[in-house]
Amino acid sequence: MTTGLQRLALFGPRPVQPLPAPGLAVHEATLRRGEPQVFACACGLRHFPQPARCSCGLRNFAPQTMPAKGKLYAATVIHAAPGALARRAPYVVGLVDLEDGPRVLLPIFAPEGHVVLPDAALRLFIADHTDGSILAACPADAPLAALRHEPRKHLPMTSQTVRRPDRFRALMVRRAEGAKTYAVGFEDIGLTDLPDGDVLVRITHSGLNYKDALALTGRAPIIRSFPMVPGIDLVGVVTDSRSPKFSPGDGVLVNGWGLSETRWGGYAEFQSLPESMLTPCPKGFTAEETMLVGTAGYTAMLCVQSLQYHGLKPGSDAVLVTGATGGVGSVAVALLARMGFPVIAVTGRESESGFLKSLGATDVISRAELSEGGAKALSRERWAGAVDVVGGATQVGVICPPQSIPSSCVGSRCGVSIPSWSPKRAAPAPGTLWISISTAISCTVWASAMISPTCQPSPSGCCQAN
Amino acid sequence: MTGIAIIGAGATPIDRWQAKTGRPDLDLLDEAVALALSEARVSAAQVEALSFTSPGPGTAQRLFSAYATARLGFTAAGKVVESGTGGWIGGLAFDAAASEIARGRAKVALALGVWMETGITTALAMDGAIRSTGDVGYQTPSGATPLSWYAMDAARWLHETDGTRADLAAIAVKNRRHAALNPLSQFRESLTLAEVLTGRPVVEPAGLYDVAPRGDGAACLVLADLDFARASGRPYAVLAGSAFAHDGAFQTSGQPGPAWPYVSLRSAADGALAKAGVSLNDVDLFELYAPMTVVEAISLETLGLAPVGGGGRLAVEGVTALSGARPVNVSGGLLSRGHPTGVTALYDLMEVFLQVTGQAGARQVMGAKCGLQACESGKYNGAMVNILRQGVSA
Repeated sequence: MTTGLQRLALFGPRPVQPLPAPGLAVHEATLRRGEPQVFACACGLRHFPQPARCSCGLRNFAPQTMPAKGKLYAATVIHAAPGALARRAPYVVGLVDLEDGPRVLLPIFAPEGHVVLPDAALRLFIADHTDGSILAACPADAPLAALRHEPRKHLPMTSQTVRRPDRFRALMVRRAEGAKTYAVGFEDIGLTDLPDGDVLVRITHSGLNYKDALALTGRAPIIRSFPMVPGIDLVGVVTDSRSPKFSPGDGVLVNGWGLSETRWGGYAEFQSLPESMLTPCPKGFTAEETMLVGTAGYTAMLCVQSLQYHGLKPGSDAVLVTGATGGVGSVAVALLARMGFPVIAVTGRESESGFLKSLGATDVISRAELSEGGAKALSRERWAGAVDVVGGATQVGVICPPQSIPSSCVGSRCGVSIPSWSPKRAAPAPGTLWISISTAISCTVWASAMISPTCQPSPSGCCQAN
Repeated sequence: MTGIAIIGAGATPIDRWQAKTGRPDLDLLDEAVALALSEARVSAAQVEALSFTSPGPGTAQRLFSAYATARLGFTAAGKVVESGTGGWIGGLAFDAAASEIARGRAKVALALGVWMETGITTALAMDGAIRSTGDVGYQTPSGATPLSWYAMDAARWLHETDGTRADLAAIAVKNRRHAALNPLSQFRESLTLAEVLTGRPVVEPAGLYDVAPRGDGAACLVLADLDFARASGRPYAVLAGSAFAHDGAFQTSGQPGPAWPYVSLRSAADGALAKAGVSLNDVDLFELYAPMTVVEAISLETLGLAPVGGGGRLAVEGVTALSGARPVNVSGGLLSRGHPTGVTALYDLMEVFLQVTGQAGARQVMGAKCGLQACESGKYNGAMVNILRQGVSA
């Protein structure tokens, strides 16, 4: 007697749950024990599952341990699949002829790059999902640890729906009354726990941004209401909608909008959101690529667009980008360089100057040089505009350089503190316009935010944040 | 028992009607019925029985046959019925209409139906269909989809026989050429062998052009007893033979054995040919239910028209083309004419009717007098075969 089939733990519930069928409870119990059964008729045929009556007419079956080995009759790689299966696609199912036994339909797993051909020797194993187990097969000589079972392809944006789950996972940040520290952990929650919204989204991706790290560690007071599901952005698929704008299967994204501050965000399997926060996913991008661009790329785009809006054109002087190796900074460098601007990248990590040059930066200078303002290197630099993601002393260096800067200078910044003014530095050049970019606004209103900048030059030429 | 004839047929072109236009199902059906009655030169009042196909997932109305009978202005002395499961839904509806005539309950009966499914997402359609791909307790969790069974047939066929993917692709190309001549076709643009071979994979080894598209359509056949048909002075087809068979398996046999031949198809074809008193050599054209290229190949092999592995080569060699010795799926078939599942068999029967009565226009098989139509219940576990012959007017 064998000690039972090997087991492999797989993430998440079974993509398709079995529905009630005769003998299913017994089968599932035998799967838990690792010893599934086939059912032998006196006529010699062995069945799986157990029929009510054998084709020979007899109705009595003797349970026997299911053979652990078999041979593949044929298999297919399924690329077009419904519901939760879409996440697994492409995946393989095959007909397996068990040794001296019936022919069974099973999911087939194999190591990456391994093609399972008809007549291949297979062995059975038990795939344990969070909600139950299913029988599966793999090449007889492949160790379970080598099997590919994660999605191997980017998730397509459309034609996916998912059954509404009873319970699903969410990362939850809780703070006890009066406490200063947070408790962070995964919780099983239900749809009724979610906030009110027009659209239910099955989240496929959410970025991990600097702001998320601040929120999760409590290093900055990002979260303003508790309990909170963090995650400042998300990409997913609509599974339910009261909005005429969105239908089940639509790919959607959310950036900002107070996610992880006042509104539950992306670190959950499902989220409920008002339609006004949702943007259809851009065509030509997978869900993963959309989230790789994410809030950081989106903020960079807003900064560059605000520079354009205020008159900067390629051919003018250089554009300065601070925090250039970060998410916003690196995308801004790449965008500006490809638009034809000379880009001066400012970084505290000069070892990354090769990376910055590869993004298209024409010059790389250190943050210290900019802040001190006295370095020789800087004295020859002039810039027509800047994207500043650092703030503080760095921003003073941006706006108030040792030399006068052109009156068209535009600073853009995102989510950082207002610079503390240094009286030792020159005042900003008259006409310097400082635009605050915030991702708390959505794609649908960013244009008006640029037309009405949140701060205006004061009579002295310096800017006042409102 | 009286003889049974088809005296008229009408159908809408197959298209993504629901997705593109939101046209209601009843509107499509009304168009098909009006065309069929007009072709048959009978009035609605002469229709005594209505045999509907059960509607598709895009139809919201329940009790559809009662609803449609009333809204289309019919009354009936015979049966009003709605029948069907699996791919042979249209065949079952046709058979039920024929039974009403055979039992003397109607002189004129309609076999009719509408199938709508493109208004729902592919995922939703497949979520429903996936429960027909196997035992919901034991096989559905594997993730098999409706086409997977045929894809596994194709995988084994390619592995075990000397047939090639290019042979199968030739079937898709040939059927597209036929579809270009059929005004009811969903796809008429030319298709090359290279396009079929490089089509994006759907269920490997089958690609996009190896499988039938989703579509909506409505079709109506007017059946009458033979005396009525003879007296009409109109061209008509006689239902010369008809047979069913089921091999006892569900999707696939639980016992190891070959994926082919399709035992039920062979059995039903033998039965229908025997009843019609004809041999395969008397059959001028074949409308075979093939939602994937390999199914046409295996069906031809099953019928004995090609050696095992040679079903696709018949398309390569032009034997199964419109101008060939054994024209197969001259309508364009499920792959290109289209496959609105529940009414597909009605479209196929309509094609055979048009062919044997010499009304098939640009795709007319010259001199066609006898045609065979086959449909199946799901992975060809069950099959139905009908033989239609040209009727002789009084």
